[in-house]
Amino acid sequence: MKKSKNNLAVARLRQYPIWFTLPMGIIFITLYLVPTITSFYYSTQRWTLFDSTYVGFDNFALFLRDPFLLGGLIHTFIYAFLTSGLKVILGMFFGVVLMSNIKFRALLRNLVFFPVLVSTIGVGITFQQLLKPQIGILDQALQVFGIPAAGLLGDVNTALYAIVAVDVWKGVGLATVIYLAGMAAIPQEYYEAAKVDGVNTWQNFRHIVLPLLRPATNTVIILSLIGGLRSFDLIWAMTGGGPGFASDVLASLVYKKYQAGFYGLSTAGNVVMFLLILALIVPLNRFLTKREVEI
Amino acid sequence: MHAAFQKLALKAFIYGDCGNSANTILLQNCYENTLFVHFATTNVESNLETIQRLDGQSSPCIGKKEEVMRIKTLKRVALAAVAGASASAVALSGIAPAQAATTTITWLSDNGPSNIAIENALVKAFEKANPGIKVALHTRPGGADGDNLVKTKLATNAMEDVFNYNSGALLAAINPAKTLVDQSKFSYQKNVYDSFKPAVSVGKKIFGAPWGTAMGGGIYYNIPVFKKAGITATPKTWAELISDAKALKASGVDPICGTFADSWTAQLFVLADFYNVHAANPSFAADYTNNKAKYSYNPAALAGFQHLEEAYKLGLYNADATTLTFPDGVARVSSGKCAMYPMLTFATSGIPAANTSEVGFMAQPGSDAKNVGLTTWMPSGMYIPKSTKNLAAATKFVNFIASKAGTDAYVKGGGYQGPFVTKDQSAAPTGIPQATKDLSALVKSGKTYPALEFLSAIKGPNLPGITVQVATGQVTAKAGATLYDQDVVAQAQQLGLKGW
Repeated sequence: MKKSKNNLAVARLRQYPIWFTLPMGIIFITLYLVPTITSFYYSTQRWTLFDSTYVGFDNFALFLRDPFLLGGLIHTFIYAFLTSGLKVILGMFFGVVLMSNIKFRALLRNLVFFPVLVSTIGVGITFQQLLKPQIGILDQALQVFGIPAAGLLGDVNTALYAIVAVDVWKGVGLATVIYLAGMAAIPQEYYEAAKVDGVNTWQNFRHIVLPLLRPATNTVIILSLIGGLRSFDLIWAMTGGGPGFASDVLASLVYKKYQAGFYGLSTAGNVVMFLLILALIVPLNRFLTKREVEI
Repeated sequence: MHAAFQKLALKAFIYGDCGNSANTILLQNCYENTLFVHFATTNVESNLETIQRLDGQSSPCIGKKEEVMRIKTLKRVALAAVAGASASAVALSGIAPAQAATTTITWLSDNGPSNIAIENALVKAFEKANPGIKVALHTRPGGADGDNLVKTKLATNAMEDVFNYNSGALLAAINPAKTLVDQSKFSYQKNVYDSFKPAVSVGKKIFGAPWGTAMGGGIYYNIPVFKKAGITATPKTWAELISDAKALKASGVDPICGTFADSWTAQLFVLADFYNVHAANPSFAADYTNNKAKYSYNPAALAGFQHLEEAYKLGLYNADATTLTFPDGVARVSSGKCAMYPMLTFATSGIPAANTSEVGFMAQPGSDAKNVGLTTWMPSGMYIPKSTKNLAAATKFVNFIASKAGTDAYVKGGGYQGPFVTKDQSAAPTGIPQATKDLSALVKSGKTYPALEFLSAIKGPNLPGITVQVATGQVTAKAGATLYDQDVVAQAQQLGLKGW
């Protein structure tokens, strides 16, 4: 008797049969899970298309001894945290602005979201041309502020930050949309109650919007941080990691190793990157979700 | 102005023959640029898509309508050749019963437009000389894509009957001893200069015939600009080059063109200095392969890195060096905006027709004024995979390529960019650019030596980035050389060399 009751409860919990997940499950397993697991095996091999030899942890040792690894790590962290932070601040700003009753609201919302839809490589090459010294229109406009003669992308001190700016331009639309959704989910009653208590706009934002937006903020932080840590396409399209290695990140270092035919070494690099992102994101996610407030 | 410049750059690039170069890193980067060119020429994208859909062979090196058309025609011709093979066999059997069967061999080659013209000329000449054999030409993209295609085809025994591919360091990566037919007993060998053979050999086995002309690594210079600055002869030592550069700077031009956005172009001062390295240390290549010689503490080898550093410190590069690309460099030295451009001689095809008499080419000078010589880049190799079923016909084809008749056809196809590496070879055509004349004179002088990548399989993938770092003052020459010494370790280990 008791058993059937339990089964009923489980059945009610599961509204759809399990095989509904099968098609996606197969794709996930064959294209994500299997390669991820086999990559651990291949990272211990020195392999070509023709043969492979077991080398233990040599690949990892060699990867970690790479003279450009430290620089790449520093650039990765600068890139990830800077883009993530800016996306949170600007995304929230645009979210609040686009939630209010301003003119052309729909148009502005579209404009902010538009760059998200464009191909990253396309954006990278476009900005590379716009920032070309003497020729690029953006470079000419920025000359007023006294930028380096070699252009923002050509100067070793500014290249990484120029890419960060483009990444934020491209990605802030997604953050804005997440914030808009988050704000739409805040029940009107809170505002009404606050109105009765006579709060001003700042207090409204500080004590109602900000805490209740925490789930949205967490989503933006996690998404943009993961994106930033494994960012590659924009950097590769704009500078190829250069000048020299001035804008090289972890992913571009790994890619260069693959390009050179060091398949085992680059697989080891990928495993290192995977573990690093995992080690960073899992505790961060725990920490952030703990602070979320129930609406 | 901008549009014209872009067009020029595009042209220079497209005709720059990325598929025909022997330099690993060069090729990889060349391919990346092609992607850019591909993207930039959106008006032909639809055509490209069409052709890609037609035959499933992507061809990013092609950027012009007529070239696309040419390839389409070519494909049709190739198809017709296959389809018509049996028909012609019947026709032939009526006339000459001795040659009853026609064999068709397949040939995988580069898809650059100028390459295809040469390849067609070769096929035509060969088929005329060997009526029983037809050649079906297949093309492939250059760069990393092409590398992977070649590797995959070899690994799956799906390679064409003959194919051309890089010689030197890149050849080692396709495991020739396991995948290629040994050609050391082929009759053409006695026509090939010994200097070429190490670039296509493993041990005593020779795996390839020379495909194309030899290239040199050195410095292009603008003759009128040199004259205007009062320089009458090309510098014989590095010190002279520096003082000339200072004079050029005073005359109002950028003395040395840097195009570091294509980071591979920054390597030239190091790579093209190998004649001088070898002159000072005849055993350097062997020691280097055996992990006994290093760039960082061998003074002659370090000199290349020091050249980059010195040029930076003296402000001899153009101010926008880090954002220019290879076509920009060719355009600038052609127009005289830059006085010198260190480069491989395959750039000659990018010099506008109006400037071909104004741009000269010199070897990179070292420390000895009496011994100025050229570092040379070997032609690609023509290889036969072990998987071929038409070995006899393929052998005939390779023999033909390395013969006088083969070089004649090569010249006819418009491919002459310098001397061939065969003894009995076609004469240079008339009206060739000044830079090609200079290259031929340098080769004829006999003072040449192959670049290190043809003598040692070790070439680190990060040399482009490191040379940019040195040339932009991010690290010193010594530190850059040390970084490069560390960088090659992975390559040596991947190849399984002893002592690393």
